Amino acid sequence: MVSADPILARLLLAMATTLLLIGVIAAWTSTNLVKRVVGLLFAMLGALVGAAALAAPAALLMLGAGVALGYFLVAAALIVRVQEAYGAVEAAELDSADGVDEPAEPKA
Amino acid sequence: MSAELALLIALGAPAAQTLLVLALARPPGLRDAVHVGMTLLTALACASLLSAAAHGEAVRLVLARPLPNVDLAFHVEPLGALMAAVLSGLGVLHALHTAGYARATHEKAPARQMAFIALANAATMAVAFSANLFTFFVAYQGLILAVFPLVAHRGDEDSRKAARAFLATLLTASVGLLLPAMVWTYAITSALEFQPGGVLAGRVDALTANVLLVLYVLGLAMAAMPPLHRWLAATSVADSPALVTIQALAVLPAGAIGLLKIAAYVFGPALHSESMDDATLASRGLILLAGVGMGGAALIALSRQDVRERLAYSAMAQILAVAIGVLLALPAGLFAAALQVVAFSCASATLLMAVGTTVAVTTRERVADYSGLGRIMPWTFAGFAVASASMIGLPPFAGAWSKLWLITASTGAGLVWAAGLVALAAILTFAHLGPLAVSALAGRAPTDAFKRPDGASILLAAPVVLGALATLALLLFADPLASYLAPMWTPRS
Amino acid sequence: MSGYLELARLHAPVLTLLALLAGAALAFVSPSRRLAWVLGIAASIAAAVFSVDAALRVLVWGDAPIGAVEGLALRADGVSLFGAAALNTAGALVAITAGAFIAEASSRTGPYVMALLLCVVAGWSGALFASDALGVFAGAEIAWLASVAMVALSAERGALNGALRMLIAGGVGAALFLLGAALLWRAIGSTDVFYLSAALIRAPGLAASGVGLMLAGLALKAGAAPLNFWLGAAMGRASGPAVLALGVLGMLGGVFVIVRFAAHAAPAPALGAGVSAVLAALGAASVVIGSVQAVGARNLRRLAAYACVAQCGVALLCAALGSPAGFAAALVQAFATLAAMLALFTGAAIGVGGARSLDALDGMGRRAPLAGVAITASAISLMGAPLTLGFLGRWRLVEAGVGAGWWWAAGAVIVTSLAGVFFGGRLIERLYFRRAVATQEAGAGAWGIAGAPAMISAIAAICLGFAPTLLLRAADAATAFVAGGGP
Repeated sequence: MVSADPILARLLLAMATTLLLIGVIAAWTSTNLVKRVVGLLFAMLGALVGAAALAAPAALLMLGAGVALGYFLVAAALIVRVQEAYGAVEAAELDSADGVDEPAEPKA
Repeated sequence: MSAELALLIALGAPAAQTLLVLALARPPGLRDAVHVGMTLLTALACASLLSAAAHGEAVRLVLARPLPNVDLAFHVEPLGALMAAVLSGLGVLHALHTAGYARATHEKAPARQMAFIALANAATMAVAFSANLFTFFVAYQGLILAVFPLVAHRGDEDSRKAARAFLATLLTASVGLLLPAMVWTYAITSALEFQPGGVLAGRVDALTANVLLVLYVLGLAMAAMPPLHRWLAATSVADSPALVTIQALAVLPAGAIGLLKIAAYVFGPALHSESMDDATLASRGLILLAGVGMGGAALIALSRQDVRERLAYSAMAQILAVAIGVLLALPAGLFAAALQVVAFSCASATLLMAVGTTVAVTTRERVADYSGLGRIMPWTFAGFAVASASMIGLPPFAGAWSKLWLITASTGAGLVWAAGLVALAAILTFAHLGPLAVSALAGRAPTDAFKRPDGASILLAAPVVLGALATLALLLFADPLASYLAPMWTPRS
Repeated sequence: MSGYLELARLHAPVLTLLALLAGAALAFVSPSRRLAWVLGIAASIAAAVFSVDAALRVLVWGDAPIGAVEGLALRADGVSLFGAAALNTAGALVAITAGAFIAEASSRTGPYVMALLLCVVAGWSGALFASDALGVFAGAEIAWLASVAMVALSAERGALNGALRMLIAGGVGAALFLLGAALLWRAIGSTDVFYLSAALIRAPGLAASGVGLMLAGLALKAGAAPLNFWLGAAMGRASGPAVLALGVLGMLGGVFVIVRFAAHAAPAPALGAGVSAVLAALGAASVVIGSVQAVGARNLRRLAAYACVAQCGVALLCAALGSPAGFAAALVQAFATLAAMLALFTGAAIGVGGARSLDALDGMGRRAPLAGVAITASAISLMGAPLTLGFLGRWRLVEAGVGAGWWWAAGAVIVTSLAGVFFGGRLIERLYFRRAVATQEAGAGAWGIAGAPAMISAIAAICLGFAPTLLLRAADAATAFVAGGGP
């Protein structure tokens, strides 16, 4: 891909990196768990597109896609169980429900 | 007994004693017999090693090589042998006293107490006979961990708090200051062996020597150098047998032995030499700190009404005298420091055992309550008076010799002010111990003194008297000790 | 017969993975949790035997090469043999200790937990034996997803929150690794780990970025600070087996993989400085942040996990040195951390069962003396007390660090030890100098031999510190095997 059209490839790589960064930021900072998972999928999609733009071997792309699918499935299952257990998917509500009987500790 | 075997016994017997005392906790007679018997065995082994060191026998015991190029090793040299002999000899008296104290006070867990005393003795022996800085560090850490349960032995909130302060101060200082100093020394010399003349001599610049000296002296928080001295007063809430171990037989002496070994065998001339590549600046600063600390501690002791607390501050003043002697870095200073450790251990053990006897028999702990007790416990308080006189430095008691040497060494080094601080501390020690001994002996006898109607048992009184006799006997040994210790500051050619 | 045995020993990496994966499959379909436990123990012990035998033959006796397996992209080097032997031995011990909890697990989830535990060990072992970045990626992701599932299967709902955070963090790590691997491919035309040091690097900047991203992705899974935001939530409320899998196997598995990757990348002139900088930053941050978090922790499992972060930080600092001595020190430190964590987690599992608060330790020294000894041994090793493995690891760092002029590394060691004094001292004080205020939960459901690993790891943490010759020789040989390309 790179050798065919280097400008397009670089553009694609830049877009992919941006997508990855947006995904990471969303996954890290979003207060809603569903949004976090969507952010995570964006990040993985960005990584896959970036890898494709860099002409990575097919095995790497397929493995990456498989891993992304695995993450999506596990995340979907977890969100369903979280909704059942807490009745909410907002991170703050979950943290406050968990933190009721726990004293504060230093954070990273 | 071969010297190797004696060294093995000196190190192994107290460790075995720990297990035996716990295993043979009942009947009490057997437990006490094992405790005293094993301590006696240790003392005999140490006496044999004292003689081996006098004859210049080279004895070395390597237990393991836990690091490349660094052994866990012990050897016999004059300083270690002398300290081990004195401390283990006093340990026999302490073992007798502990047995008597446990019976008189109906101690709840005497076997546990004796076991940790034995473990502390084992660690102290390891400190004394350590052949290198690594072994010293291992033994030092072991001593901290062995004494921690002794401080917390009573199990109440006060003793637990004191134990936490003890552990936190000593471990933090050893890990934060002593360990970096050791690592730094290894980085410079690629060796950690103790050797007369010092491993650092000629290998360090002035800045490194000064920083290293500060790290070593403050890292050895067992020597109670301000500002790392608070653990000493905090632990005065411990039971009497633990106090003897902490102040007279294990912790403070181990700190002092550490200072002596590091000055003589790590720094040597690097501490103070004619050239500029030495630690003169740091040593002067530390002498000032120790001198002011000495005076301060003796003054604070004067204000304390609890006898154990008063003795803790008094002990601090005495042990800081060792630091001054060491930091003067002259043969006279080193000898004064070594003699001071010996005299202090004898006197302090006697004083603390006398206080323990008093607590066991009368439950009295306040200074004001001591008045006249000497009339009904004459042997105990005669010992108390002799030990007090030695702590003060009254001629002709042993403490006077060490203080005299210290003053001579200070003036010899051109530090008249240091000599003045030593003299001032002696006067303040007189002020806080003299009147106490005098009022105990000369005051009117109390009518309701005894909790125990039969008075002090022989196990409680005899060790005090024998301790006082040991203090008196030291009078005769000042000169022989000076020649015995000469190899410390005279490297073999 | 001996010919077949030799052939089997030659392909120890494959057999290790096969034993674990077959055990996982059998445990998964097993009808009872007890059978699953027995199968799990058998499989993990078989894997441990294969991997330890391979490590001893190559690293200690030096008498046999380990063959590559064509088609499976597996190839062992010194670090992978050392790491896999340590990890699989720990895996077997964890599988045994899991009996303390699995007796209390439901009969539905019990077999799954055991199967997932074996998948965690298999995943990290696969990542260690992989010959190229794809294999490392696949192994790490299998291990990670299995860890997430283990946490999610915990009985308490709080664990779901932790599992989700883990998943997000792991996914971000996976994305970074994937992009990094692609960048590396672009720069050197290969993702072969063994090719890194000798590769003709066409675009040094691209290659360094790729390796940096891959290391960051792995560090996220190893719990290196400041990327360990998932750790507190996951460890705080997960079930016992999940905590064991994550705190002992997951974090250390990640560290071994990082060390191996760095050992291959560091010799390349275009990569060495970048690898060193990334690992030094992660190591220093882990030491400081992990120590502060451990000192402030009120939850026993979190305290152990944060202590592990600080210890792993020391291992990363060792690896950051980039020299054979540094990598050998990293292996020794990782091994020391593994032994200490194993003793701490398994001791706590046996002594206080599922209890999490530090209060649960009060008076445990009298109530459960053997578990108390295991935790004490671990605490002493974490403090870095002399004659323990903890001291040995740090000493090796200082030795290697001072030799390279990295004086600040000695400072990091001091910080770790000082923090260790505080939290280790607190553990010991609670064990022996406090009385239990309420009826404490003990590992009442523990099955017979579940307590053995605690004692084995405690003995290892102390005895190997006393006589470390074999360990040091193996670590040196492991590093030489990477540097020289052969045993």
